[in-house]
Amino acid sequence: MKTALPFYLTVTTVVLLILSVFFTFMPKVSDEIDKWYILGTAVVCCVGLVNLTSVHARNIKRKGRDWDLSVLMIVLTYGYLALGLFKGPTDELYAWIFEATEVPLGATFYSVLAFYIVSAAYRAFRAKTRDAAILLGAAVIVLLGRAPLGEVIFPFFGTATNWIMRIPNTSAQRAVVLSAYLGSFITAIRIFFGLERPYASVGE
Amino acid sequence: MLKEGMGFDLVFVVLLTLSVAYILNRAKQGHKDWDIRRIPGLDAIEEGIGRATEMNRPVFYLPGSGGFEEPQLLASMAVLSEVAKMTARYDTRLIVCVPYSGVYPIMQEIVRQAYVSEGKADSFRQDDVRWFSDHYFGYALGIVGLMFKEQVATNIMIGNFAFDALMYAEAANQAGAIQVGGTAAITQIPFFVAACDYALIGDEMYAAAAYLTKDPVRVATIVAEDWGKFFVAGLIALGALLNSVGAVGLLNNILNW
Repeated sequence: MKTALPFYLTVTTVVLLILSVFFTFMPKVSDEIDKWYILGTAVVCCVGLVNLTSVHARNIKRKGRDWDLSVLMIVLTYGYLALGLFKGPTDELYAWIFEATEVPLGATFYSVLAFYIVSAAYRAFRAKTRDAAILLGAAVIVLLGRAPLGEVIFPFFGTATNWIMRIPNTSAQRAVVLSAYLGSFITAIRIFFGLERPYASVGE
Repeated sequence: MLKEGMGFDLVFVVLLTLSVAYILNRAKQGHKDWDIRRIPGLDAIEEGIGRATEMNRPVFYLPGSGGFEEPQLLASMAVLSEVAKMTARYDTRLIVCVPYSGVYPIMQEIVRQAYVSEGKADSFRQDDVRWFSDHYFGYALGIVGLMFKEQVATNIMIGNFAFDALMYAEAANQAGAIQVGGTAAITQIPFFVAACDYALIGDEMYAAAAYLTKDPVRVATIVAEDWGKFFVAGLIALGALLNSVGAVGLLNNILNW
């Protein structure tokens, strides 16, 4: 029952969705199932909060590593949650806390990405093998072709960059996208046939 | 009755589904004449778990972003199950960081079931399936911090990733981890190729569960996928040919039926 019921529900949902995608007689079914999905995920949302609380509460209880930060995390999480519940999401203080903390911290963290890209590019573009050498060559051409100065120095970089982006890059991307779509479709069929059951721990 | 322009799509979907059904039937009858080519990225998973065992450090698993509407997450779940079985066999700690609270209970159950199926239910640590935040930055910061804190030995990232993937890959690299990254997200594949030791590109990720389990039924579905690819490649070649002789309109009419 624990595995059979979700399987039959999945099959019914898939059949309804397929019919609503291809035929005109059930135009609203897809939208309705989407609403149920959103409702379902909203219900299980609190499970994450329970996990967060349990991990940090246990750390505090055991006086584990950085337990003081766990206290801070729990106080901030529940304090902000309480503020939102009592004052509402449109409250000025509630919005200010978000704008003054999460937004700049997020932007700061995002900006660190630039350094990570440089570091990753340095590791990737060391011409240790033939493939890496081709990658390095293409990267240098595209880099110079995209930089305004590169094309001024040598016009070939602009033409070569356009060719690399239009022909090998586009064709490779399309091949990957096409096979990925077919892969996702086959995954869907596997779930439809009950060969993979993520809702029941992958076929257990 | 049939939506306009959807006729060919319906035929394609039905044909592919029938192909899978046919090939599954053959596999169940004992025909096992298919094999998946060697995929170094997937071989590296067991190697990475072995490395983590030797170093007595944890294995990290990141399933990428997206909820159940994301096929890559579904593929990732199947891989997670196999990874969890391996870590259970090797008695190695596995830390899974879940991006959305909505998928958290399923992820936890997958890992728990994997440990149970290997007879290592006692080794399963509930707290090692972690959720930090539904928001990108909260999730990313939590993972990067945890990678350094736990000194991760192996980092496996399989699923749909966005800009944050590079942060995990670089943080894990700085922590000295061996990394396997796999995604079908076209914008992230170059980053995985650049930052990870092994990269699974596009549909390799969807074949991962079949490859790791060697389950003939799962492998059979990959064969049907290849038939789909041949069919589409044939259409492309036919389109190129018809376009060259100025008769591509006929093919367009069929495709838009």
